[in-house]
Amino acid sequence: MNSFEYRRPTRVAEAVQWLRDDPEAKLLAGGQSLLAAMKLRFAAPTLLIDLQGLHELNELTVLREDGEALWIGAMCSHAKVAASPLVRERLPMLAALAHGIGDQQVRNRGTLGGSIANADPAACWPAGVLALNGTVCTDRREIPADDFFTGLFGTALEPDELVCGVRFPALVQAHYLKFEQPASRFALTGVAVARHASGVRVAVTGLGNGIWRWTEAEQALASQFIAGALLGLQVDPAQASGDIHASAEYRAHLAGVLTRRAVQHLASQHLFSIPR
Amino acid sequence: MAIPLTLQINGRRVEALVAPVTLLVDFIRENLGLTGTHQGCDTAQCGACTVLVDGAAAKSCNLLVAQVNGGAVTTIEGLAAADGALHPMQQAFGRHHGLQCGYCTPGMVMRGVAMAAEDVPAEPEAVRCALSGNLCRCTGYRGIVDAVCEGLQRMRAPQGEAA
Amino acid sequence: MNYQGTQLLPHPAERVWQALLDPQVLSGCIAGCEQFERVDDNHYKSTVKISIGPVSARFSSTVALADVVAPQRCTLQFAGQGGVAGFGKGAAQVQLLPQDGGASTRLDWSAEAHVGGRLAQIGSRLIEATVRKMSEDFFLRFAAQLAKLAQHEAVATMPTAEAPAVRARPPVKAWARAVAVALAGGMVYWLCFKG
Repeated sequence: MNSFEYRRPTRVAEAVQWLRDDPEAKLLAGGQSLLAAMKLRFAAPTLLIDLQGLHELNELTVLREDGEALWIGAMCSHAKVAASPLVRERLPMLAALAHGIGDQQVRNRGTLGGSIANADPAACWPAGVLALNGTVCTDRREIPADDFFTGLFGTALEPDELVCGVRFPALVQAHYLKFEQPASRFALTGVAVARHASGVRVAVTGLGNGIWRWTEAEQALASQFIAGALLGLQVDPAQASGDIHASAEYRAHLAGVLTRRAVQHLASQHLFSIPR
Repeated sequence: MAIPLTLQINGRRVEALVAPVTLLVDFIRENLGLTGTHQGCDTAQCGACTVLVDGAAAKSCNLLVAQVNGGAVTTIEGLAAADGALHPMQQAFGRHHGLQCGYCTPGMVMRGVAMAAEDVPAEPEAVRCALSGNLCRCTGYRGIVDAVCEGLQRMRAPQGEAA
Repeated sequence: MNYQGTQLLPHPAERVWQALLDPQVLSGCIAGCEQFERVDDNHYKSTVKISIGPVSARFSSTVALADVVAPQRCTLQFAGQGGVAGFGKGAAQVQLLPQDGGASTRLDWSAEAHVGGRLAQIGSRLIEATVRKMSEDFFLRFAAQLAKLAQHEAVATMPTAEAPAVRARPPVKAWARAVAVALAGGMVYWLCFKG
């Protein structure tokens, strides 16, 4: 790695100020993506701002005054989310999603905030945040999920903006299915289906160009929440990009399959009143 | 510009002055001479560099030592008792022929030890899944999985016999 | 690998051609373009810093112009060096076709390229998506620049003393260079992710 300075801020404002002062500085959350890039010399920040000292970013609580919404701090590790009794009880889809990321060693260090700020087109968290209609709260504003993700590694974050956490509203039910690339366990394609009181949201990751909502499927499922409602609907391969692991056509096909299976899972749960 | 660090390594307090670029695996191996932790891929895939950081398994090749400043690290050298008696997990690896060349082994053993705190059931399916971050090129994993299952049982029932 | 694309621009071919000739326009279309230099009439070089996700790489590229038929088409041969990130080279063809009786223009581009290096090996899963994003970004900015140029032209033809001076039209080669740089930057980066 190229050499750099390392600092641990004790306040969010301090971290933001350091970011502002040095355009070549980078925030360090779990470091699972950033350090790997730096070791390969694909990134060479002059300063790393380690956020682990900002304990308020590591909170995981229920917001009783906010309709029982769940707050997950940006520095919560995937392992913490996966093991949290609160998440398992209220939003089990997120616990399962977090448990499926990478491997345990990566999950022990990688964080929600780091994942969504990076917005890798094959990452799982963006699918969860988008399908569950989470609100991303930063040091200066709140950004609805629909506005937060803007494409390939794209977010609405300003260069010196810091993600503090995500607020997840209560919902009816949700499920996440991922077809893994066997070595990296990234999503070749991953689909999160969520049923809210107000309708259905279907978020697809892994297509290649960034997290994407399949609005056609959402509308069909809002009328009738059964897999049959998706008959004849296909994800347009033009939404996807191919690579050595899978073509655009295959990814689009997988998206359809995974959406159907997720809906089947949820529909049967609902039918037999299996606790979610 | 070097930064001062204080951390626990295998229960011993260590103080050092290091360049921020120093990876935990390099600090352990080069600065401390604890070469039991291995570097297999240097890209956080193989898990041979796995150590415990505050009790949780982590790949030391993908961590700066600066990130564990103030924390506690356990390496393979820290498992055996003071009198040299091997840790139950280490004993299990011996009994079940859980290694051939031995390169992935420290990572496998540390990962196995970490599973106890994660409540991973001492069953082959669960153990295989939990080992997804550790790669072995020699054994085909059978001996490793058997070893970890027994190791977990012995860790959880230290006075009793293995189930 | 081969890539192509088509853009429908609501401007006459002549304006599009002139804009593509304008190094100012083009360097404004390439995110991260740091340097732009004419070596001679048919050769240009540039430096572009590309940042996507955790990766940041600086590419030095050279472009050679060939088979120019103004204001219709041109071939650009490019080669780029990205340091440890990797390298790439290839060629792109750009063609302008008037549409709607000359009111708008269809821009067709096609490129083939070869890559190598570490970024190409490690980042192979991102190549196609990166090319797509960079092309989309480029043409979004290009469309905005064209709109601004159209505005200036409209104002310039108004008989007032305050009309801004019309920008002087640079030679054909500058266009080729600029397009080449844009495509080179895109292609090289894309290529560097290939692997």
